[in-house]
Amino acid sequence: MQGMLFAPAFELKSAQMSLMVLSIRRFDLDLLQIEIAQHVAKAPALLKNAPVVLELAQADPAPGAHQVTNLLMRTQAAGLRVVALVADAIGEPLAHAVGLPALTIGPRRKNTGEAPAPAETPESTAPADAATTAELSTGATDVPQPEPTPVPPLLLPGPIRSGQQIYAKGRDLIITGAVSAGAEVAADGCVHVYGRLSGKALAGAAGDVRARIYCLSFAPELVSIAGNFKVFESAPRDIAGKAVEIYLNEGRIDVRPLKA
Amino acid sequence: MGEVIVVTSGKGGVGKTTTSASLACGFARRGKKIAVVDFDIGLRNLDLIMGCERRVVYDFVNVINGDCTLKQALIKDKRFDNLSVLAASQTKDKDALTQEGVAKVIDDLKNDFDIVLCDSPAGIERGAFFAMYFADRAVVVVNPEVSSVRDSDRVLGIMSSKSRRAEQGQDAVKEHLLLTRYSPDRVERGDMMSVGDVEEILGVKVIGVIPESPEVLSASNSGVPVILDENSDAGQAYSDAVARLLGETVPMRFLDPKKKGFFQRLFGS
Repeated sequence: MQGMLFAPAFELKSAQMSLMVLSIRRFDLDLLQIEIAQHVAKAPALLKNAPVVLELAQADPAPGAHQVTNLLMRTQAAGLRVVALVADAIGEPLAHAVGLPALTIGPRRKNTGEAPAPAETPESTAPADAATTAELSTGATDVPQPEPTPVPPLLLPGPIRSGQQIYAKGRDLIITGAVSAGAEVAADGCVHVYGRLSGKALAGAAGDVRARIYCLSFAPELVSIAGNFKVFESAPRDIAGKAVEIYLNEGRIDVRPLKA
Repeated sequence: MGEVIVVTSGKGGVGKTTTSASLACGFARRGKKIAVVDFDIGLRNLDLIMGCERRVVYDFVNVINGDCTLKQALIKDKRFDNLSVLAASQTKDKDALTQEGVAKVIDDLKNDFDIVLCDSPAGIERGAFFAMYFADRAVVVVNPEVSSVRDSDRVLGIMSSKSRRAEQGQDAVKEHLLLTRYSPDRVERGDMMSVGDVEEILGVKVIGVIPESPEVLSASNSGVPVILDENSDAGQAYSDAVARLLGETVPMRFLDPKKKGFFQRLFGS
């Protein structure tokens, strides 16, 4: 015990760690939040709450300190933690202004790989659209068009259990069973849960705002559509345990009971 | 070929080893030739609960390392001829288990026994993984409280995706729940999750409900599995569970609060 009193209470160690750099191109807060959230939703295990360093050298238009503060909040809401700014001509004064450290990047990494991709156009996710284009093309031209092959949904029997992650890339996801608390199901298309949804469900993971989530019994921890998410500590009374449809209504998550 | 049954849970302290010991004795009493294997390498407990800790010469890791034959390491139970225990190593750590080594032991045991019962350690790491990897059936021991239920859910998920049956595309591991430390009084008061609650969350049927009872602790301490105490509620509940695991239909008992006597009602419990 005596000895403990004289031992230092801390130790300063040198360590090297690699961090991802979030390099901003178009400085549009709403767009950034949506795109970052989508990116995080694609690889939540890797990215959720990951520490990142913010690089603003290429940001257009160049933001002021107030806007950077806003961006920090948006980034956090979207699922990334900005821990520092890159110490370049633009970043250094801004870092000082928003109270974050400025870090010098080591040997320059090759082209900004981690930067969020510019907005993608959602491709033929709605079967209805695909059908119409197919009809038109057969009538109007004799150039053989490749048949648009419908992508079958990813069909899984439930239950999807705590700790499991399912991602249906480029298609719908159908779970014939429950999704347990602590489980995560995601799809670029719609998510259907024929059972109790107690975990997390993410539809339109690649940004399709028309994607929806359906479940037979509503009790999720979180639902997200195209990066817009809503956390439920407890489900509202009128919809708890009900069969519901979850959709995006002017950028907000809305839940309505399915009529019997 | 024998059947491999794993007793697992995810969470620690829910009663896996107590359950393994009781089920093993129960199966033996019903005439099954059974081997019970302790996978908790480094923290062996099963031999204590089975009352054979003084007779452990060789253990599971010795067999895997080829220090002895499987036959030498198996400890015959004094109460049942047809029951053998393979103890875990106290000195080695769980990295001593290799997939090929465990596979060989399990397959050899399957040739000689009707049932190979694997007592899993807590957690979802190496020992627990190997305990469930070869299973045909699983008895998931769960306490009626949220963290135990959540961990069991996790274990069920791992089993359905990473067991040998899942990897080889065979029929899924057959899952059973065994609820332990169940207190009907507290369920009635709303302090504890009910059988129905747990079944609904996990989507698996309960094969037995073991009421919380003081005999469990005293049985463990004396090295006599509680199933052999015919007078205890817990012992009877384990006997029922064994019957159900053998495919019999037995009504559930001990689910309702004990009727209180006149004086107890008058003066409280």
